[in-house]
Amino acid sequence: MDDFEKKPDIGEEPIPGKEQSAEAEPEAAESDELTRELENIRDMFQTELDNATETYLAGGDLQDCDDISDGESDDNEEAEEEKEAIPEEDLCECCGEKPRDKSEGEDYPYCSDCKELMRSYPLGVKGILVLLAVLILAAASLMTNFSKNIEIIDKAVSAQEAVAQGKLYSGLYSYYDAINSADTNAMPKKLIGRCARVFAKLNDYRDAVSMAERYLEERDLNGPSYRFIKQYSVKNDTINAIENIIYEPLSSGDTTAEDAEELCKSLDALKEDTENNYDEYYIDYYKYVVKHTLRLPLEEVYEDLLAVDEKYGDKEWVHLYDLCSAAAELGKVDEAQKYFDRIAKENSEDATAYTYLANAYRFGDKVDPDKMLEIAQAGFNAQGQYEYASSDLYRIEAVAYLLKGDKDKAYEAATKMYSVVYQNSYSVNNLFPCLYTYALSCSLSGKSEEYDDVNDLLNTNGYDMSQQVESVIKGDMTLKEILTDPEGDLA
Amino acid sequence: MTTLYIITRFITVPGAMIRGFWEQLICRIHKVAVEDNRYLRRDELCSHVEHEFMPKAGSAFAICFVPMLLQLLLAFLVSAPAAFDILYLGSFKFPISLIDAACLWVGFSLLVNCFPSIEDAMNMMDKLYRGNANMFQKIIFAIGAGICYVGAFIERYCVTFLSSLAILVAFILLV
Repeated sequence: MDDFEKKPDIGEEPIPGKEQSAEAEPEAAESDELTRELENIRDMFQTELDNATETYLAGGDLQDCDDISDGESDDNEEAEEEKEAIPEEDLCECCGEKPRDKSEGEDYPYCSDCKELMRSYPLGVKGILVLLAVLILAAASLMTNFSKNIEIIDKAVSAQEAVAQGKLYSGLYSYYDAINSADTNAMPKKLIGRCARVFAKLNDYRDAVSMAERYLEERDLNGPSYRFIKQYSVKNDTINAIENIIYEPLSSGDTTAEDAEELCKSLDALKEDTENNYDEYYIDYYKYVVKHTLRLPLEEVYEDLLAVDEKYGDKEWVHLYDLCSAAAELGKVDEAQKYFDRIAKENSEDATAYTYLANAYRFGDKVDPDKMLEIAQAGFNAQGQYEYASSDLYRIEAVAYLLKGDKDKAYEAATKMYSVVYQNSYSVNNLFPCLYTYALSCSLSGKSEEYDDVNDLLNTNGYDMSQQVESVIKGDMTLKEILTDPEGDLA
Repeated sequence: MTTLYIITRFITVPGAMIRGFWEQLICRIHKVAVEDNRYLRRDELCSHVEHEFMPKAGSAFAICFVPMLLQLLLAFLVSAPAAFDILYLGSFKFPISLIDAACLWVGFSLLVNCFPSIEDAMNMMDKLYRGNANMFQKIIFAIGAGICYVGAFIERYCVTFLSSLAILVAFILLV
């Protein structure tokens, strides 16, 4: 550089060996002009050189310089030439510049760079956002409604399991608990429907309809999900209509067996009522109730019940209790067992059927007090906490122990029976068998005070002690005679 | 049929987008090139991502079965609480129960979009039973592969939309 800068000006020093003459003045002018031109060119090149040097020293890429156009065009030309050298079918389908990566296969469509980019394609933000939104929605649902309803759901599931196992009382009370725990502004309607079904299964149509009408709206009751409530209303109306006809005659005490046919005809007339469309099952069933209450021969009413079972037995079951009881009173052990099995299948927690079955081993040809005790104990196990039949089961035990001659245990069982009856404050005129059994047990085990208390209770209510009980106490009759008589005072 | 398919995907857009997301995730894990990551498209690949064929039997099975499993689990997780509230108890309180209704719709949409595309299903069967998969894979993956294969066709002809709707109606009526 320095040499270049120091290089003498061409116009300043005379060229040795050459002298200027007068004839060379025009030539000198031309020479001056040429010199100036050359100087300009020299300055221009110097400036360019200085710029390039400066750029290079500053770390710039000489290739970026716009002035170096000749080199760039050379590179582009090279690239173009190279590209032209790759056939179009071998170019990457994505970028269109580089050759396809044939290491992946002859037909692989992408170059290695594009392949790597596509393998690490970023996950879509929208997908992540939607997933997060869904999870937040699920969390919101869990924390708001589900957490409030979890207790109700738990009780409802328990109820449903109990009903499926034939434990109707447990199911009913679980549904009741669930409904009472619910928010009245968001009453779980399906629970109401299920609870109503359990009431209906227990043949309590009054409560089924009452519950449904309390919690469900008119449009729900008219809809497809709860239309079954209307059927329950029909059954309830039927029972009400029947009771209107028979209640007074049967409770007056003046109606006799001869009036049974007239009452049955009145009940049959309900079937002609096309406006209300009464349920025929209950009409036929209550005709049996009328005959049984008016003490028509048991064999006759038993046949009527068998006819009811044949006609409606696949759908209805309330008549099974009466069938089991009638079969037991008639001493038909096998048939009583058959009806008992059907009742237990419908509601395994109802111990009433156990008392009827036990009676089959009391009134039949084969009196078996041990079997009676076994059935009574099974009844206690079946009913669990729902002690609706406790008094009857204790009475079965008392009678069985009396038949076995164990008076102390008979007294113990009869005392338990009496305390249950006393606590529940049943009306005396429904308690004669219980009171007579208790009185007999007290007397036979020497508890005269208790015997006198029962006697006083009966007298206060206008009733007398059973003559059969007094006969046994006097010795005029045997225990077996009165205890195994299906028509007796202690039956 | 394609139009109907696309309409059902757009009706069940949460499930469609999440399905595509799972597929892209599986592709990323198995280092398979994704050619187009749009989840919602107006063609047969709606709710799926366009990607290279999976190279191995295991990965081909994974891209069919794993998203299906995740969709089903997520559908259960999202819709079970809501189903208990609205469908089992019949409890509805406006406006809070709208959350439950939304959860049911999301669960429904996840169910509708749980099966793989036909291309993925066929590639999976090809790799498993015509390729170099070992006997252990063929046996272990048989049931899942069968379900995915049949499901792919069912979904393509919109039967999953109807079947999911039928499941919902059956739950309402029977429970």
